[in-house]
Amino acid sequence: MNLSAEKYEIIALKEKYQEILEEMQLNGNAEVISFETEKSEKDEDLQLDEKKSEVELKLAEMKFARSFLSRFSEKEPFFKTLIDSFFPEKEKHTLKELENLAFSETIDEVVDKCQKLETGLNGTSSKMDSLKKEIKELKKFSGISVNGFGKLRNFNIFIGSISKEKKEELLATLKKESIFFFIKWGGEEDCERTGFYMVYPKEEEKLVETVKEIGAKEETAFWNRPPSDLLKEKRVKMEQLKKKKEKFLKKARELTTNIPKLEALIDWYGWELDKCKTFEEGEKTKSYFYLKSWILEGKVDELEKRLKKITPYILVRKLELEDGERPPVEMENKDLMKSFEVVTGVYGSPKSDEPDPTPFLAPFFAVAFGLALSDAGYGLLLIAISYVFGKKLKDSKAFFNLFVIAGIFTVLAGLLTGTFFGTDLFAGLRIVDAVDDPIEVLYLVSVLGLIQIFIGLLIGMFWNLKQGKTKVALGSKGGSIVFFLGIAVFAFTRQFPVLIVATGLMMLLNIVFSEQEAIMRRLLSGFGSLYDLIGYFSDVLSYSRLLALGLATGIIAMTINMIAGIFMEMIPVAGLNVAVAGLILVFGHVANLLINALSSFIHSARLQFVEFFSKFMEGGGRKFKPFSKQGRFVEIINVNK
Amino acid sequence: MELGLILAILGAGLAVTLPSIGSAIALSHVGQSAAGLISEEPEKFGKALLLQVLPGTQGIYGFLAAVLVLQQVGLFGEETVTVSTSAGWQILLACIPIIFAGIFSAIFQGKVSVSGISTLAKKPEEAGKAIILSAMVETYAVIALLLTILILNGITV
Repeated sequence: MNLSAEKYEIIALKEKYQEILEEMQLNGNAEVISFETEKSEKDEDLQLDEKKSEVELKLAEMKFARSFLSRFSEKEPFFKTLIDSFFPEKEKHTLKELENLAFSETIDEVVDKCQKLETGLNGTSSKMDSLKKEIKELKKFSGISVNGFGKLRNFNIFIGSISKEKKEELLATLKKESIFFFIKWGGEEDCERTGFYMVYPKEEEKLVETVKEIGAKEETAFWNRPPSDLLKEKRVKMEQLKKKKEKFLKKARELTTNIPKLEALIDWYGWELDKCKTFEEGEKTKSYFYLKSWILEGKVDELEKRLKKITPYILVRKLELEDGERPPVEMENKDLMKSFEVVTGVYGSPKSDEPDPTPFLAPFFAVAFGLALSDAGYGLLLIAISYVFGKKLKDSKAFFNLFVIAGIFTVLAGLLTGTFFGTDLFAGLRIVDAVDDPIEVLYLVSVLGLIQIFIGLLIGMFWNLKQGKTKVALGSKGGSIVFFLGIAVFAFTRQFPVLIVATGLMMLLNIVFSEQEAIMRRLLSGFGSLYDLIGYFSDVLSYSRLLALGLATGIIAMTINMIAGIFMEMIPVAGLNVAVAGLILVFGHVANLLINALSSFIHSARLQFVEFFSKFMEGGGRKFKPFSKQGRFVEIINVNK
Repeated sequence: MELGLILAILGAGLAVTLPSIGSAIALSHVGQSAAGLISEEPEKFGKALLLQVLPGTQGIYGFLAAVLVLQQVGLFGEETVTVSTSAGWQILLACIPIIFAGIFSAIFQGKVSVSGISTLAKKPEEAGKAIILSAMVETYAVIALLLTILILNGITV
């Protein structure tokens, strides 16, 4: 059912705004309309600003703590993360539990600890980084036991580093050029470059050039004690920092148990901020505040009653819609029908004056899905998988229920075509053979298409009559309906003139009930209706995809069985051949089911959106966005106190 | 080997190869843009993967047509059927729809899927619509496959 919203104004005592907005959020049947007028400075409310900043600060703190801690939470298995990304489950809390959490000191302590830990971790990491650089430099000169270098009267000192491979080349070249030099090497085994200092006579400055040409880089003696001693100290310090960092990490990991609480509070403060913003946006006088909102039809009395319990000084009054204004809509279906909202949801909401297509599409979608998958074994597997997931993931139960229903229709279609995991196990029950006689299935899916389009036209006619568009209902829709009835009579009688009469009647109805006044234009709209027939023809042909998809599933299933059979014969080791063939069967069939279930869903949905919806609705309605306590992470249970 | 069988195998080979090339091109394009999205929002991996696999179906359709051809010429069975030259040509021509519609629809479907990735990035709640838009392109591969199947069904070897 399609619930349209009505426009209301709410005027209430300003001092009660907190309680009123809280009640509206809990009730969740109203959508607040924001005022587009700019607020003047005199509207500033210091108290509200203070409250808003406080809530924003809290929200930012919770978000910071969550994002900080989530860096340290244990990685979940890939499969679970994948499932969560499709079907997120919300934590269930009562309002009281959330309130207790929001006002508990422990969560403030957690945030405080997170802030300290972040500062500590950042500080330690940056100290470790700079220490690492110092160690890297010192390692080059490890083994050199001088404290520093002073000045000599007749000699100069060159301090540098060179890559290990060039060490021998450097020594050999120096020995060739001079005999008056002294060189001392440093550097640990794992260093890429090794450090050295060279003492040479002042008049032999060219030695420095030689050394540089070979690839030595000049370095500065930054140490004031032997590098080996310094290195030892720095390494001890590094160990201490590592331990310190590990301690911080351990503490952070311990705190990750608070992530669910933080997430709950992110939602909580989000709702608080919503209330502040709603109040801020509303018009205010000295003692009253004024809101405009959409309230779902039939839900206003209950809301008003609940608001009046807070204060009798409240007015809830219905407003007229402005020209061209379209209220938002909400689809409301119960039990199994709720599952089919998943399909409608992909298309989007209908307009407020259009029907909810969910109950109409449900049987056709299920049948189309079944025919597109059409394998009894796959149907059973789909039912089993969807049932187990539906039990486990309660928030997505409607989605999985849809696939349980679709699975049942797949079993039926599988029995119809006599396929079970691509085998002929139920060939005895087979009514049509899709592989050997595809034309028969083509007829079957075309009949399904004809019926669905006919029903679509009937819904369209009924709805047009309801909207007062009698001419469209009787002319365009009525004409097409007569033509479809003609096809049905033709199918049974095989009398070609029936089709001609039906076409004539269709044109006549289009001429008689045309919206045009001029006779020529009326005639034109009559002939124009022939063009609709081409549309219907292509609509019906579009259902042939069900045959192709059904064949695709069946033949690939058969191929998987065949490949498994080939491996069974090929591998000579008994036992191993069964295992390999078994693996091929399991993985092959599960993969085939997943790929084809996706295709079946998409193509069956498309048949509803393109071929069916176009007969009675345009869509494009705006979905009702309630002012409510719907969270990203939590769901409030037992809302009604 | 007689010409008829050669032509039939050529048809089966092309039916797998060209649509698979199309699918591979499309999947690589969607994959590249999806990888960009995943680097920012790894939690959208599942839906991005869904958009990526969509243009992969054409490769499977091609494979399906090839299996039907091989079955018809008896390459799966114990004995090979003698395929006349005329039947071989007929089989090769029957593969034409899925060969061409397969490769091109896959590439173009990939383009729509790439745009779908940006929908997923900006409005993840509308990802379902992006998936449907991408699947619209596939319609023509489905029609082509259907025609290939119907023609193959009508050929007597």
